[in-house]
Parts: sequence; C-alpha cells; structure tokens
Amino acid sequence: MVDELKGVSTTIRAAIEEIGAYPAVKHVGKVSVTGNVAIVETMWEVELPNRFRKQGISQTGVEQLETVYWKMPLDYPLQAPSPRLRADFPTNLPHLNPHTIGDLVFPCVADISLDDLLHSSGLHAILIATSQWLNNAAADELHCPVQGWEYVRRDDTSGMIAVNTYSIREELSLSNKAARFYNYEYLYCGDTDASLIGSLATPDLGSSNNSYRKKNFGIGNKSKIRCAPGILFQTGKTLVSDEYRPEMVSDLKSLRSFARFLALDDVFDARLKYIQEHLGPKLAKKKQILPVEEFLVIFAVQRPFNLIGTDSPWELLPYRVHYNFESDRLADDTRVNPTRFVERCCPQLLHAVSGTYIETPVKIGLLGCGSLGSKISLHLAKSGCYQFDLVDKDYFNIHNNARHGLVVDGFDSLSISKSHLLHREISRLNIESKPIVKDICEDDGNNGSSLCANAEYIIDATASLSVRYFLAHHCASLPGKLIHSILYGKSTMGIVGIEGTGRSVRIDDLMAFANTLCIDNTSVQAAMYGSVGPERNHYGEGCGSVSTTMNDIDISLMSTSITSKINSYIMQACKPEVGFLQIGIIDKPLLNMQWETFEFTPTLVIPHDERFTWNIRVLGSVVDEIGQLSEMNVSLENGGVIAGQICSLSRTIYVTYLIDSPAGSVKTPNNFEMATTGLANQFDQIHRKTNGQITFLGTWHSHTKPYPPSIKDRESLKGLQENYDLPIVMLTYTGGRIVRV
Amino acid sequence: MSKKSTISHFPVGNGDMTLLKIASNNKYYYVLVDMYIRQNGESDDDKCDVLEELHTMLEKDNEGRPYVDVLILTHPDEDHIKGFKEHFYRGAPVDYVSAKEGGKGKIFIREIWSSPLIFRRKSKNNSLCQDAIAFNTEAKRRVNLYKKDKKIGVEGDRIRLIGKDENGKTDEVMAIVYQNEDIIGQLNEVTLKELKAKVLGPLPDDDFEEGTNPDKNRSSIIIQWGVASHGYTTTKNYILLAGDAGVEVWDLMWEKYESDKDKLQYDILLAPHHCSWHTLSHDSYSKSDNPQVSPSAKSALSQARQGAIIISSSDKIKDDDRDPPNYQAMKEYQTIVRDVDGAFKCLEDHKPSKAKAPEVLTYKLTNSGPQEETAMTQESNSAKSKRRTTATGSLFVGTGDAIGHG
Repeated sequence: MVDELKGVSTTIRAAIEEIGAYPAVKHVGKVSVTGNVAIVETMWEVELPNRFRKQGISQTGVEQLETVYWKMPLDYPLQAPSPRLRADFPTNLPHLNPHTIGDLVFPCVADISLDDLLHSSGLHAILIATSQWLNNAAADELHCPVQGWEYVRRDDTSGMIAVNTYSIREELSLSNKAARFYNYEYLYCGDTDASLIGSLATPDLGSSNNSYRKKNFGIGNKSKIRCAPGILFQTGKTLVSDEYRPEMVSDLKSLRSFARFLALDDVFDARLKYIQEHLGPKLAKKKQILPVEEFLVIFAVQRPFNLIGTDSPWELLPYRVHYNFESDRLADDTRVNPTRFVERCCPQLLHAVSGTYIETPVKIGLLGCGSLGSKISLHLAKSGCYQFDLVDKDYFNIHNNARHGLVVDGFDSLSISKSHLLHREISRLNIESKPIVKDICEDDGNNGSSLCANAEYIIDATASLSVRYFLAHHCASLPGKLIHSILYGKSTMGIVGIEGTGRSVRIDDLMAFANTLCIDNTSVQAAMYGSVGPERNHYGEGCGSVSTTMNDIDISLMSTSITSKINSYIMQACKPEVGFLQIGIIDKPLLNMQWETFEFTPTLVIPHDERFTWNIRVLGSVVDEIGQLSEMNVSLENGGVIAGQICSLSRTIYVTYLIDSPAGSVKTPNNFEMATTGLANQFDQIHRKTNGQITFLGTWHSHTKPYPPSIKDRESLKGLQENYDLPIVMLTYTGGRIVRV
Repeated sequence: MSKKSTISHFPVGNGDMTLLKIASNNKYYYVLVDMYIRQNGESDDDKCDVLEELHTMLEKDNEGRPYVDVLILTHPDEDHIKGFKEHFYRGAPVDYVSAKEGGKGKIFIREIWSSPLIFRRKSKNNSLCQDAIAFNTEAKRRVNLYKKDKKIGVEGDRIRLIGKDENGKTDEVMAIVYQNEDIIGQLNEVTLKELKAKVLGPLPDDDFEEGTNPDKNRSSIIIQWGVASHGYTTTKNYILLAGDAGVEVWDLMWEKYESDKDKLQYDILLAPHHCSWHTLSHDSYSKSDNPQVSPSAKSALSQARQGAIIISSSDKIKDDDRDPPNYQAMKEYQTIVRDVDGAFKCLEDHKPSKAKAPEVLTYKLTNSGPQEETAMTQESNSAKSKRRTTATGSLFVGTGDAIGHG
C-alpha cells in the first residue's frame, strides 16, 4: 500500500511502515492524500478488560478492533501525525478534542502537544500514547481522580467571560444555595455577538432577587459595556453528578432539560420567570434605557472528585441566554450558547501557577518603589502570597524606564507617583496593595512607624542612608521585621539584611559588619568601595539624579536573587531569632553567583550615660570572641584592639572587629599592657579598604577576677582619649560579661 | 499519565511469585506475595529472569534501596520462598549496606506479613529450607522487637501476623495480628482507600477433622484482594491468592461461605498449589482408579466473576499423571471459567513475544476489572532498557529530549 503512494516523502513512507509494525496495529489499509495531509487507515487492536473480551466491545463502547485514521502532515516530521477514530466512536468519554457531529473523533492522547511528543520521544511514543488511550477508554479509566475530573467537552462555545472561579468555588463550598446572583458585564468587540468579551464580578450580590433592583441593568449611553444579570444554580450538596457527557445545550429547551437532569428545574424556572418580568427588555423599556441582548446562566455541578487543576469538585458550566426582542416571553427555541470562562488573575491562580500556596497573604511594607523595590514587589506579587503597602515619595521620571519594573509612557503617567504606578500594576494581578506617597523619614517613628502599621515585614529597598538611619535610630519599634536590601558595585553585589527578633540585631549593626567585611574580602571591598559607586548622571534637561549607571539586565539579575532570598526567608515555617546578613556576589564575566550568609546573635548594647555620651553596640560575634580569648587562660589578663564604625549623627559606636594585641604586649595575672607596634600601619590599610568607615575604637582587656574596671584602667583610657578626636572606648571582660571602662 | 494498579505473575515454574503494585495517592505500594528466585548462574534462555524483572518493577527509596512495602509468605515451602536469603535484606534497617556501583542491592522489606507458623518447632511436618529458616529468623527478630518496644517499629522492623497461633504464641502481640475475616486497608502503616484485603485463611487447626495433618500447605495464608482503581473506593477487582491451600481447606471454605459467596469471588485466581489435583480432590490422581472432585472444594473455587482468569503458576501442563501441575485439575478449572467467558492460563505458556522464555503476565486493575497489559502498551524486556518512555508512566519522564519552558 505504501509503495502505491505518490507525492509523499520517503520519511512519511518510513513512518507509515513504523505504524504498521506497531504491535497493536493489525492491518494498514487505505492511504490517501488530501491537501497537505496523508490519511492512513489502520486497524488497531484494543485490550478489552477480561469481562468484555467475549463480547468484543467494552461497556464504554470501545471495540476490540478499532479503526484508527492517522492524519500525517506532508511536512512530517516537522508536524506530528495525529490519530482520529470512527465518526460514531462514543463521544461521552473524557479526553476528546472538540468535535463536530459526523466528523472523525480526535482523542486527546497526550497531555503535551503531539509535535512536542514527536520531537521529544519519537513517533513510537505517539503510538504508545494512542494505545494507552484506547485501552483506558475501554476500561473506563480515562477519568482519574488523582489527575482530576475532566471538564465537560464543549465543542461549540461562543464568547469569553473573565471570572474569578476560585472565589465562586469558595462560595459554593461555604454554603449551598440553589441560586446566586452576580453582576455580569459584557461588550461585543466585533460585528456579531460571538465576539463577546465579558466579566462576571464576584462575590455574589446576595440571595435576594431584590439585589438586582439596585443594579443599573441595560446598555449605557456612553459606554459599549452592558450590564446584565448572571445567575448561578448550584446542585444539591448530596447530588454528585458522575456521568460524563459532552455539552448538549443549544436552546432554552435543552438548557431547561439539563436543569431538570440536575434536579434544578424548579428553581431555574422560578428565576427565569423573575428575569423575564423584572430584568428583561420590558423593564428596560419602562426605564427608558436600551435593553441588554442577553444574560448569563451558570450551572455549578458537583463532581465525584476535584476538577483537573483545582481543589474543588464544583464544575461551572456557563451559558449565554439571548433575549428575543420580538416577544417578552423566553420561548423554548430561545438561543442559548455555551460560553467559556477564562480565569481572571487572582492570588489563587498565581499560587497554582507559581507552585506556592499560602492561606493568608503576608503583609509587606515596601519602602522605596524604585528599580530594586519595583522588581522585588512584582516578583513577590506574582507568587500570589503577598499584600503590600507601597511607600515612595518620588514621581516617575521618564529615565526610570531604563531600569524600573514598570514601563510607563504617556505624559499623563509622568505626574503619578511611583507608588501609585506600582499599585496600579500590582492591582492588575488582583493583589491587594496600598500606595503611600510620603517621605518615610517624616513619619513619626517613635510611635512605631505608622506608614505600614499592619506589615509583617518591612522591606527597605530605598538604598537611602537617611532612611536606614531613620529606621535604626528614630523608630523605637517597627510593626514588622525589617529586611534591608541594597545593591552595590553596579549590581555586582546584593545584600539582604534581616534584623533579629525584637530588633536584637539591628540593620545598622548588620551594615557596620558589611563594612567590616571589606577588610578581608576583596569582592565585597570592590563592590562597596571600588570605583563603581554612585555617580551623578544627567538625563535630559533638568532631569538629573544621583544614580549609578547600570543596565536593567544587571539590576534584574541581582534583584531576582535578592527577592528569592527574601521570599525563602519569609516562607520558611520556623524562623530563627537571630539576625542575618546575606551577601551575593556575581562574577561578572562568568555570571557565577555566590551567596554567603552570616548569622548574628543579639548585639550587646551599652547605653550612653552622663560620663560617656556615646551608645556602644558590640556585635554578638565580637562579644563571643572576647569571652573566648579571656577564658583561654583565666590566670592571665588578656586584651587587644577593638575596631568598628562610628556614627557621629546618632552618637553610636559599633564594635565589629578585634585585632590581636601587638607583639611585646605584657600579660600578667593583674595587668595587661598593650604594645602598639605596627598598629598604625594596620589601621592605615583598614581605612583604605573601608573608605575610613572602620577605624580604631580603643582596647579591650580581661580581668582574672570579677573586679570592675580599676583606676588604672580609667587613667589609661583617659590617656588614649586625649590623643584622638574620635571617641575612644575601653571594654573590660570581667565576671563573664563585658563592661565599659 | 496517572498511575495504575497492576498485578504481575512471574513465570517461575512450579512455584509462586506475584507482585501487586497498588496505586494510591499518586504513589505505588508494592506487595510481593511469595517468591521463587533461582540462584545466580541458573538463568538460561528458556527461563524468565524473574529477579531482573522484579528489580525493573520496583522503585528505590531515598537511600537508594530497592524496596517492597509488604512481603507476604503464604507458607514456608521452598517453592514460595526460594531466593529470600540471597536477594532480600535481613536485619536492622540502619545496617543496610548499599550495593556497589552496578550491583542490584538487596531488596528492603518495609513490612512482613507472615503466618504464625514461624513459632512452630521443627518437626516432620515442619521442616524448613534455608530460605525459610532465614525468613523465620527475620520475622522473629521483628516480632521480638515489637514485644520489647510495645509499638510498631520503623520501616524495615515492621511485621504483621496473619492468624492466631494455636499454642498462644501470639497472645502478647495481638495488636499486630490480623485475624480471619479482617479487612485490611493498610500496607506498611499507610491506609490505602483503594484496598480492601480480606483475610480468609489460614483456618485454625480446630476447624479441621481430628487426626489430619497440620501441614504447611494447610496453613497457607489466603487473602481475597479487593482493589479499586486509583483514586476510587469501590472495589472493581478481586484477586484470590491462596498459596498451596488443599482440598480440605476449600471444603471448609465452602462450608463457611456457601451462604456468603462474595467472600470467595474473584476476577483472578492463582490456582492453588500450582494447579494441583489435591486442591480439588481427596483422591490421589495417579493411585486412584476413579479420582473424584470434591464438589464443595470446587464450589468454593468456582466463584468466578464475568471474564475471570485462573492462572496456573506452574510448569507446562501436559496430558499425563503429573501432579502438580495436573492436567485434569486444569480441565476442572477450565469448566469454571468457561461459564463466565473467562480463561485459564499457564504462566509457562505465556510467551507473547514469541521468545523461548515465558514472560511476566501483568493485569491492570481498572474500573472495569482486570485488563491485560500486552506488548501493545508494555514493551518487551529487551526493549525496556532501550526505551523506557511513555509506556512506563509519565510522558515527562524518560529518555526523550527535554521539553523546556518558554
């Protein structure tokens, strides 16, 4: 037979031979070419369940020998062949493609496209999939409760209606009401009513028919959008419809018949009567408004198990019922079109697609809606797991388009604040957000930052030193845990700082430590204090800002990683109480990214007093190190140099680094005398590496007995302080704790 | 492609080896009932390499161990336990040593189901082969662990006993004993909504006539396995596995269930004792002039559902006096399945690929009852290693080119 074929390639001939050699294929029959397709007729042996072998036909109507027609595109293997079954093959089975009566039946044999299956696994895989499909059809195994209930096959739908089905299904699971009413809006975007685009608003308007009276049904004078009723009929809770049948509704008679099948005919007729009398063309005429052309009926049918891709057994079947303007009565032959619901973007849909599920969204206060903040918030929003307060005082400038998460054009948008623009974008996902146009530093911080009062996490993405200062020193408390995110070195380094519980480790501690890392870590040093820091750039007349020149690609690369770190932290079930500093560095030419995490136990805070007007904050790691050095030999005093950062604005000293006492220092049971050899050189280098941020702060020493700092200690300190402009600190480890001299 | 439950019968000659693979909650649970694995080096062209086949069907756990969720030994005869010592792991789970690269690794048994025969002393009627001794030792280790800890142990230490011991040896462990007519819905401490396994035997010695031998065959575990299709709860597949239970057992079964026949119904029956005449008759086939079928035993074994299959796990059945397998017994079974449009199959004859060696016979357990898996959907052994793609499960897992995300 294959040899007789003319006009088909040898590749196709080989494919036909492969089909013929497949074990289930008993016979290859007629091969014909129509247009761009060769049709290959094959006799296919189906493995019937044992109990139907004798009869030769299964309970589902599949025969032991089925004719399978292979539609083989002439450009095969560019396109895959696809199977067709006899025209009278049972169509009440799931996993069939849309079908027109009289045509060959097209089974859906794979859950990926046949083209992909062909190019992934070859023709053989399509043959196996077809064989499995037929065998499953014969054994009534096409429905699988684990995979989910297959949606009713609707071969001829008209229009497309956006709806939040998650919200409707949630309503259905909460209470069983025979009828629910929704606001249904639609418009025609073409010449015929088949071009309908609609929207069904949730939640329902309430069970009373009166709820519709408040709505302005009809066609508005200025808008093309019509406002019409949408009624949902829910089957009784005890009625589980486990019969799979394709869509059969085409007019009101068949719709009513379906309602009867679902034991909903009484409620259906009653509501229909109401609609005819109160919401139809008659009423519109009375109100002197243009009547709507149609309304929406939805049947919610309970299936024996959850529908594919949902966690609900409720299948929603929507129908457009067209008014007949000739008569007030909705006659049996009133046109009814099955229509299609398309999912409106909502958190549940985002959960499903992104694979993250959370019951209650996490509330985020985002400070800064610039490049980094916009990207962080959009990434988080798209997981469906977050809600936002978006705080920024700035307005969008056209040059922001180069790196911002939003693309904004049109002069009318340029006067809109970044927080409003971001809110507008996030709202399109149906994610809750609130724009706040305000200078963060003007907030009354002493009351615990009123900006994001309900936030569980505050993400500071401003990269503003003044905001960081405000959050550290002016906010006695914050509503949520503070997460600091910032980019350095043209986005070659990203930082995520997470404060400890109860602010036991604060953001200023973490950033003082980040500065300290520059001493020993060349990558961090290069990023923070190399030659790629902020520089003033001008973008057009009067349009300038302090910014770093870098492209969207680089900023996106690091901001995505930063968001991933933030998301992972927030999503983990048990959060440690310690603080964290996470530093990510990209090796630019290779694009290798390395993240390092540092943990911080609570910071030791030695508050100022009348004698010493500086607050001292000793990092937990430094406290531990001093303790260990002191306990190493408890019979001798030990000591060394302390270094760190000084914030003269807040009069805070951060002790972040210890330097061993230079050679020649004397350690006795009652005395520690420190030599100074080489210290000046050492600090010269530290200053250079840290841009002068990390400096000499003073000394520490231990006492072998739990005595308080001695007079000699105080005199030594005084001597040190006289030689320096900056404050000098002397710490003593005594009795297992650190005290200031 | 969703997971489907199956039952696989391994052609081992005169012996039993059956693997139930039950799909539940999108996972497979593996129950191996008996085994007959020849020693290494014994394989040849006309024998199925059942060890290889078994390893192909089983999964490995997170620690890389091939495992079964439950191993059931119907009774400790060599033709039901051969290969245990060499191919199955015995001992504390923590001491498991993984196979060397390229090696198979011993099969890890998460839970054992055993008859209380493990408590019987060695006697004329209870002599044990080396594999059965190894099984007994392992089963006793697990029972003793339970006695000591008074709680179900971790996977690898778990055991369930099917039936009470006549001499009270199970009295202190009754919490891990399944008794006759219990319906089991759990495997390895996991409840499967698709499973309803009804315990029918072993019958207590008291039920039998005085003076009859309490042999091992009589003590076979008998279970009617009720399996629903994956995700469903209504049982659509009944499988009766009864080890070597003989005619006296089936006489009693009929006495017990004549008025409740559903308890004996099956879609698949593994003909007891490898199609032995002694399953159906009190008379010796070779020594008796006119051996008679016991009507009650045959009635008990005749509760075949529409399209039922009776399988003889035996050598080829020839028209001679051999027993088992016995030609006349096969004829009797054929009369049973004829009435329900079913079929009788001898595993030794199952050669769908026309190869010299018989092949594993597998049935999918569907919503419409058992459905044979054939070469049309299940690739032959040789092809399996070359092309394990869609036929083995998901379309997205296999050797095909990666399908990415655009």
